Amino acid sequence: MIIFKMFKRGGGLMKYRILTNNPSVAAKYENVLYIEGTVDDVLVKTRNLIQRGESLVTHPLPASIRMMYTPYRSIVIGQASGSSDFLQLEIVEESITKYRRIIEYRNVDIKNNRDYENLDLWLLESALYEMNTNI
Amino acid sequence: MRLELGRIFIKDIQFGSETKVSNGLLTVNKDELAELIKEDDRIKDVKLDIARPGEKVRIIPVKDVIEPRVKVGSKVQGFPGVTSAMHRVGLGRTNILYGAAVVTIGDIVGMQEGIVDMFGEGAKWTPFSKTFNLVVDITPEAGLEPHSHETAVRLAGLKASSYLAKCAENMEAEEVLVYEMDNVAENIKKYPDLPKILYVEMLISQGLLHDGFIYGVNSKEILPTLIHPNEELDGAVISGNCVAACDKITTYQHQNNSVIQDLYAKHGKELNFLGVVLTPELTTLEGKFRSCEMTANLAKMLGADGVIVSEEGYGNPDSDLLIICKKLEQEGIKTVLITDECSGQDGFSQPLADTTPEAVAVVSAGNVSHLVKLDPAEVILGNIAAIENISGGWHDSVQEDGRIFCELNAIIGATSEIGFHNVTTVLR
Repeated sequence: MIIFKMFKRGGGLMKYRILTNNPSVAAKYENVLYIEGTVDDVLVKTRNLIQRGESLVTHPLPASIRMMYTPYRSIVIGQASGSSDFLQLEIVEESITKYRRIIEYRNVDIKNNRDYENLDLWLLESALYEMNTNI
Repeated sequence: MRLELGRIFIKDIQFGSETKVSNGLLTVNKDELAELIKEDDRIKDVKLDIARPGEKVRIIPVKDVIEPRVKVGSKVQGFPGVTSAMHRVGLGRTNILYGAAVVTIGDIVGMQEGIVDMFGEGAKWTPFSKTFNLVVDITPEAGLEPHSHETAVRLAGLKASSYLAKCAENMEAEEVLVYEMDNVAENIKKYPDLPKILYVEMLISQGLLHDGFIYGVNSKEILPTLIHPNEELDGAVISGNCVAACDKITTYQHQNNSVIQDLYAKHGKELNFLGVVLTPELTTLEGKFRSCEMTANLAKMLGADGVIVSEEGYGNPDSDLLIICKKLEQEGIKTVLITDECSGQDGFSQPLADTTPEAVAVVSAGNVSHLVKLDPAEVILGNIAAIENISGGWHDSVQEDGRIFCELNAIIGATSEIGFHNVTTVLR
């Protein structure tokens, strides 16, 4: 089992878990909260956890419009910090608004779901690498 | 630092027995170039085609576009740290086959779109419908994984561009553009009354198919870096992006960065151009905060009065853009943002989800959701199946007359956030 840890602000280690609807991510990692649902469901669950005081480690959205049509998304969440972070709440709320707007006229791209599944995994692993450099 | 860009105007491309330029005609030895590209053992085969402005040709899915160039009087050629050993660029003389471009295509993943139409409605929206394009389509060895495939296509395009321009090393340029700038201290002495302006160029830095490279270093590995504008104009920055057709910055656009060109044009007259900071757009919030803090601090250390920030991509980089803006404005540094917007197919939705009160000067590079109708093409270079990606997604996207509906976000360079494109913003 791979357990990722990163320094918490002010010292100590913060454990984190991955929120995902991507079966490849769920199969590869153990610290996963698997959501059987859509990307929208993953985003809403992320928002609910951030509202409860957990921390947002990776940005909820990808970096390009084509990736917005992905059927899979993985987001890294850190353990509760005790209080909600307003900037993180703002980021996750705006991400939901933006996501819904961009897919308003285009459906989730199911045809290429195998490629999206892989890309989501690779982008997540790039983020995990980015986080490990902090340890 | 003084850089001379010598333009040799290209008015047509043809295949022939020798690669040369004569009276504006670029002749390409197809076999020689194919052999060069196939030296890479990841590449099984290569198909080379020509697409000229006005021809009923559609190129899809486009990965990168590169301007063919050669360094005059230099033993080292190519892109430093990528296709050649590291060497400093941004000074001396570079000759350009101006009007020609290498366009690389290939399905690295299934959902790439990235259209260049050389004709009709589609041509209006991409700057690369006006260039004479040599289209490089490689077939990878079986089982090549996407990381290596992406690298192979990236390098094939860069090598092809250097190969084409080699013949122009000793040619006389028809037009010479000079980019010369003293160091920061000298410029401040020379132009004490002009506002000091820094350009911050953000680069997608997120992982496979989402990376830019600086002197061959993946931008996700860097901290915000100050470079001389001439370095970017001379090939220090290249693209490794595949899946953001409308607003990825192709290598060609880096080589001709419009923000740098415009700041140069005003340098010493209306403003004092301090330089370029390349900033990575990372995936973690911690990474984003680090990049934004350091970018704002670099601007402060350089004594910038104003900063222009351009984004690459759409989605999570919007957060970086606004955080940088907030930090700069809070330091009293006036900030202009360049981004694109998603304001719905009719253009009437609120364009930006993210807002910050400090973002008081924002330039839009276009609406990524704007609808266009593409006429049927006679020739398709690349993958016909990729067309389905652009036409799919909503009802009635394919018309009875064969035309297809497409959002601007599928067209290469349509909403370039560094301003190298065809749309413009008009205040009403």
